[in-house]
Order: sequence, then structure tokens, then C-alpha cells
Amino acid sequence: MLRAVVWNELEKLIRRRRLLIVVVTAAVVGLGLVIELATPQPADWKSQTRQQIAQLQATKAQVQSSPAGLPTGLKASFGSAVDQQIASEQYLIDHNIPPSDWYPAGRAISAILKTGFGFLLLLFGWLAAESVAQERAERTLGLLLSRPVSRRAVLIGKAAALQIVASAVLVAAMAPVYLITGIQHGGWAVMTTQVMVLDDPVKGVLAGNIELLPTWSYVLVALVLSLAAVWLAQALGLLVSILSRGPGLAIGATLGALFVLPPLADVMKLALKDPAFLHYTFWPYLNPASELTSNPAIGLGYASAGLSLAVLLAWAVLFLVAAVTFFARRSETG
Amino acid sequence: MILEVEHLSKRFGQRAAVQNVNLRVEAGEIFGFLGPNGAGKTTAIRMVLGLLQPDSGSARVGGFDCWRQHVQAARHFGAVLESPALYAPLTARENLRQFARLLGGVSRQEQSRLLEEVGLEGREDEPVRGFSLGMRQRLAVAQALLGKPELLVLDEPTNGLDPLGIRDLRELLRLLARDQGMAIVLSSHLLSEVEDLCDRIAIMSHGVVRTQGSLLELVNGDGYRFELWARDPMRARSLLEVIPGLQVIDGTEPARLELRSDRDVSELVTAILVQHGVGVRELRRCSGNLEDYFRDVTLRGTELVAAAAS
Repeated sequence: MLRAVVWNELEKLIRRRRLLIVVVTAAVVGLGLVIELATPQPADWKSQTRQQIAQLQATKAQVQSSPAGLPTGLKASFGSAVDQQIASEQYLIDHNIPPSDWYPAGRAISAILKTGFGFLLLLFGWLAAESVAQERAERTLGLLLSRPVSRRAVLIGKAAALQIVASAVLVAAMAPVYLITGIQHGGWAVMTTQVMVLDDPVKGVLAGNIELLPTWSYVLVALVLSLAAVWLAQALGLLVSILSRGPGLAIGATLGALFVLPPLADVMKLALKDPAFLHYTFWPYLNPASELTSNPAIGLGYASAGLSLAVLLAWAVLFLVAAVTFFARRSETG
Repeated sequence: MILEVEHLSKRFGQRAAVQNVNLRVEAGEIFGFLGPNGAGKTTAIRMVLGLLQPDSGSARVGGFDCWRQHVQAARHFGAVLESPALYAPLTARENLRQFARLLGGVSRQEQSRLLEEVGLEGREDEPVRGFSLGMRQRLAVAQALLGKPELLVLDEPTNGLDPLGIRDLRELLRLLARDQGMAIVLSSHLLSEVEDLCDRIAIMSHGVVRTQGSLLELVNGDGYRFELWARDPMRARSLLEVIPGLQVIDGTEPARLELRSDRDVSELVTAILVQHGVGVRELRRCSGNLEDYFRDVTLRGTELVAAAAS
């Protein structure tokens, strides 16, 4: 029965929204490619890193030798920060660790997650938010629910169909960027090549704070975290869709929540000095680029990936259970 | 008994939409469900279809509770809801396939046959968004007939159909009831349609079933009335007066007699008159008027509600 519902929902979703899905996916791919192609791939990352070290050393010397104007304490803390950065860069060269976005797979994932993932999250929040509310508005929901199928199966079928399309869209978005990066820069990534991510970006590139993931593992983690975030957005959208009176309201409320909550999390983190409860809300974890960063001082870091996945899944399950509960009891009068 | 509704009630806030409704529909029966707008018909039907949870009472189809055992109950019925809602971007064939998948075991040939039966052959592969209201209604009927249900629930099924479409649907419903023993619950505003099709009716007003029973019994009261146009009315009268339980009354015209009985005596009357060589120009059963009856019942319902309120 569930297979029949999933098949039906896929058919309806693709026939109704194929244009929207294709346009958003193409826009995300286009954006990813533009940014990717605008950023030249260094022929040799070690040379580039050495250049950066040299630049950092020159900047430090310039600051230290400035005759007046800067307080001594500031000079000292600046020098210390630059030294730490130089040490990080040197560590990568000494241990032959390229940055995570040096290989085509890493670049593709990085390009999509950093630039277009937010749009995909909004797209699937939208599709979930309209899934029940639209059928109610068009009066097809009554007919569907009068057939021999449980409401739980209808809802799970809708969620599964959305997730199948989301997986296909994510892969479809990353694949062209990967292919074109490979063609542009050559050196196809071997799936066993190691990719570096930081456990805690605040601590910088230090031994004990880096994780070297095989490329396949990096890709898998990126996909799993992305799908968990999409699933969360869909579960939220489905719940809102069931509770709201019309599709417009459902879409507006869902997109509003997905737009507002992540920046709100940043503001709360700063204003309330990283309160503990914020770690158990889904708001900070909606962009997986944050967990897969190799840039110091940016994002949550790989050490948060487990918590991020657990929190996203827990909230998604909570929203789905609430959606099923409300949907099972709700009278369909329209 | 395919449909059993017992003490079914539903409130929306302070308003009692359906109060203590009891209905029974048997296989092969066409049951008319009548009532003015807002009487509670659609609410009652939605409870039968498992779309609304009753506050009290139950509706059972094929022995299964329509709310608690919805999946099992829904295997026994097909439905056309008020205003035919279908998936507009999908074609007629794809729409039918959607619902066929949920039932399982409905072949593609069966789906094509149904589309043909409702007159949509040649339009199967067109998107429903381009269909007229009548064509949508035909498709809605086809989806309701998927899987040969034992009970067909139709809420205003002739909405948007042209006269030929109405005639075709009427014939199809008669055929389904007679040949396949399908029970049909028909909710309609068209009293002529109900009068023409239904064996039994129920009339609802203000959430209450005011009356239900055989259409003929309800409309004609307890007895049967006939009009007899005989060539020799005096002789006919003397011959017929001896039949026990038959009351012969002079009509308003000289050649016309009015006959009243508690049973159908048409065959007996014809036989006696023919046997005695009395020419019969016409023997016609006089039926009451459903429209008048409907008006009386609903008016009475309104008066009762007004009296209760005061």
C-alpha cells in the first residue's frame, strides 16, 4: 500500500511542480558553477599555501616595524594570531593535507552547500507545505482519504516521495559541478583521497583538531547531513500544511520559519553567549557546510556533525509524529 | 445489509449538524438522500466515507466501522463527492490509475472499460484541467466504480452533466443496481431524478432525518390510488364494488372513476372488467407529488426547530 501511495505522490509532485524543481535546481547548479569557475584552481596548492605564508610573514613584519600609532599589546596579539595562521598553513604543507575544496568532489559539495543549499531547503519546505494544504484547497484530499488507505500511509507516502525527489535533486545539483570542475581543472578525485575538515574551527588547524576523511566518506557525510536538513524542512512543512487553512499560509509560514530561524540562532548565540538550549534546537544545523568546514573560525566543525544529525533527525521525527497525529484526527469538511 | 448507520451525530461548535441519524441500505437498492441546503446530508455522507469522525453513533459499510476501520470499510464503497475534484495536471487515465493503485488488483483493461462506459473514450490521455464540468463528473463516476464496490455513494452526481449525460448516468445506475446488485446512495437536489431512480428515500432537515421509507409509500400515504376511464362507468362501478377493500368513488368527469385500496389492485380490476366486456380506456396509477411531499416534510422540520427554539 505504501509503495502505491509513494508512487502516486511522486507522479503528482513531478507533474505539478516539475518546472519549479527544474528551475531551482538549474539555478543552484548555475550559481555553483559560476562561483566555482570564478575561483581559479591553484595548479599546486602547496605553492599557493607557501605564497600565503610569505604574505602573512610580510604583513606581520610590516606591522611590527611600524614606528608608532599601534599599541604594543595590539601588536603582540596580532603577531600571535598571524603566527597561529602561519603554523596552520605550514602544518598542512608538512603533512601533505590539501584543503577540502581542492579536489573536484570537495569543490562541488562546497560550492552547492555554501551557495545553493538554502534555496533547495526552501524549495522542499515549499513543496511539503503545499502538499496537504493544496489538495485540501482543490478538494482532492477528501476523495483521496475516502479510498482504502490510512491517513498515516498518505502522510508517510508524501514525505517519502518528497525525500526521493530531494535526494535526486541534491545529487543532480552536485554532479554537474563535480563533472565541470573535473573537466576544468583535471585531476579527477580518487575516491580514496583524503579530505581535511576541522573538528572545531575556533581552534584552527592543529594536530588533534583535524579529521582526514576519504573523499567517499566526505561526500556521504555531506549528503546525509543535507538530506537530514531537507527532511527537517519537509517535516516542518508537512505539519504546517496540515494545520493551516490554505496553501498560501502554509508556504508562507514554513518559508518564514526556514528564513528567520537560522539567523535568529546566530543572534541568540551572540546575545546570550551560546546558551546550552540552542544546541538542541534545529536552527543552527540547517546548513551542512558548517560542519564540513576546513576554514578556521568558520562554522560549527566536524565534531558537531553527530549532534547536528541527531538533533535534525529528532526534530524531523517529532514534526512527523505530530503531523501524523493531527492528520489522523482531523475532520476533512472541505 | 451493506450500509448501517446507527445514532450518528456530529456537532460543529454549538451547531448540531447531524442528530441521531439511523439508516439502512441493502444490496441492489437505490436510496435517495434528500434535504435542503445545510440539512446535514453532506456531513452525514462524509462520516460514511470516513472523512469526519462522528461525535457519537456509527456508520458501518460491509460490517466495518467507517472511521475506526476505514481501510477495510473503504474497500466496499466508491464515492463521488460534491463538485468533482480530480488531479488537474494528470490525464483522465492517470487520474484513474492513481485511485486504482490504492485499491490494487484493478487491471488496465478494467480502467479503459470504465472510461469507455462513462463516455470518455478518445479523451483518456488529455489533462483533466481542460475538461468541462460534465467530463470531470463522468471521470469521478468512473473512479468511484473502480474495483466494483458494493456501495456507491453519490453526492450530486449529475452536477454539470448535460441532459444526455444525465440520462446515461441514470441508465448506468439502474444497471449497476439491477445486474450487479450494487447499493447506491444518491444525494441530490433534483427531485425528479430521485423520483425516477430511487426505491427508498430519506429526507433530512436541520440535521435530523424527518422521514424515510419506500418512495411510493411515503408520497402516496398508506394506500394506492387509481384513475379508471371506462366506456360504461356505471357497470364498471357495480362490478368493482364487490372487491374487498376497494373503494370506488365517482370522479369529476362522468367517464372517470377513482379507485382506492390498501394494495395494488390494477391487475385484478383489469381482469374483471375485461372478463365482463367493459371497455377500459385507461387505468392509471395516481402517484403523489414528491415535490409537495418534500416541501411539507422540510417545512414541518423548520416549524419543529422554531418551536423548540422558542
